[in-house]
Amino acid sequence: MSKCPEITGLTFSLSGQRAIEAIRAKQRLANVLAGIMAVTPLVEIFGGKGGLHSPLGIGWNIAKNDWAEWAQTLAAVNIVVQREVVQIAADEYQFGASSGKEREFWFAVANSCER
Amino acid sequence: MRLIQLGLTAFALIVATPSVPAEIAPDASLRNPIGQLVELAKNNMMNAIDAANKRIGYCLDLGKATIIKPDAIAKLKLTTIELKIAIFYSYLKAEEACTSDAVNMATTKITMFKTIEFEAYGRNDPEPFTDNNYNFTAAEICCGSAKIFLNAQLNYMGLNADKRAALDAILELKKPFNFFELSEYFDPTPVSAKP
Repeated sequence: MSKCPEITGLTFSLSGQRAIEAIRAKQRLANVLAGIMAVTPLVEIFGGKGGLHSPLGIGWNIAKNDWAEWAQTLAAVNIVVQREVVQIAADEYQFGASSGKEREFWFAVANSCER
Repeated sequence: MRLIQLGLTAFALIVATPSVPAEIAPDASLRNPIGQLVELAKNNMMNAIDAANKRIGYCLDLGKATIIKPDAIAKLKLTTIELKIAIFYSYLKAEEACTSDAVNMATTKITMFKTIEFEAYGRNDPEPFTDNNYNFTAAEICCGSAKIFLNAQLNYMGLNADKRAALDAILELKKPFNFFELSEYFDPTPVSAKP
């Protein structure tokens, strides 16, 4: 599996939505995300205050470059929060994801573009 | 002569009697101002949080870098869901074991700081401690993913005792390992998911 995937038409299961809400609640991560000017899908997903329906209503499209930015964002928060985000992503990857795309999303949330 | 003997005996007694060193003599000056105790507790806490951060980072990196062979687990003939449960709980447990000494020390020092700070100032801390690098609760350091861990543990406890014993005997699962690589081996993401 690519650790820096391009994912198109991604929608989230109920479990995935709950996991995203749990990550959004991490205040230290929220502070870092709030300082990012660029509006990318991952910033909207994890930093957004709204729902988790994509703007186009046809699913989220996440480009390879978005993951590189996510990796930088995650690296900017305390390691304790990083560990929590990775564990939430691992839990979703293993038990929550209802589609291959969603599973790949959680894989990349935890691993970004590392190889 | 008798006087000399008495004098010598008295001298011997004085020499033999352990004197109380000045540094441990009871003295009001050994009761340090509580403000100094708060400062010491704060320093202890900051050092312990730094050490915990380093250790957590080390254990995360170790896990990513450690690709374990699936053979020992494959031999157990677990079902797909049993494999998922076993690998996930083993991953969390190995990471907990790797970080626990440093994390436990940090939670102790955070609690000690909060305790002495409260004793010193009550609820009216004259200078709230706001350094974001150290402003953690003990719960944040130790148990941010408590629900995930406990859920995984409960699922693992639901596995057959013989299977758990066999899994617990696999040494490679006791140290941090790359969870995603191992899981992907047993349950690859469908090719259709890829663009």
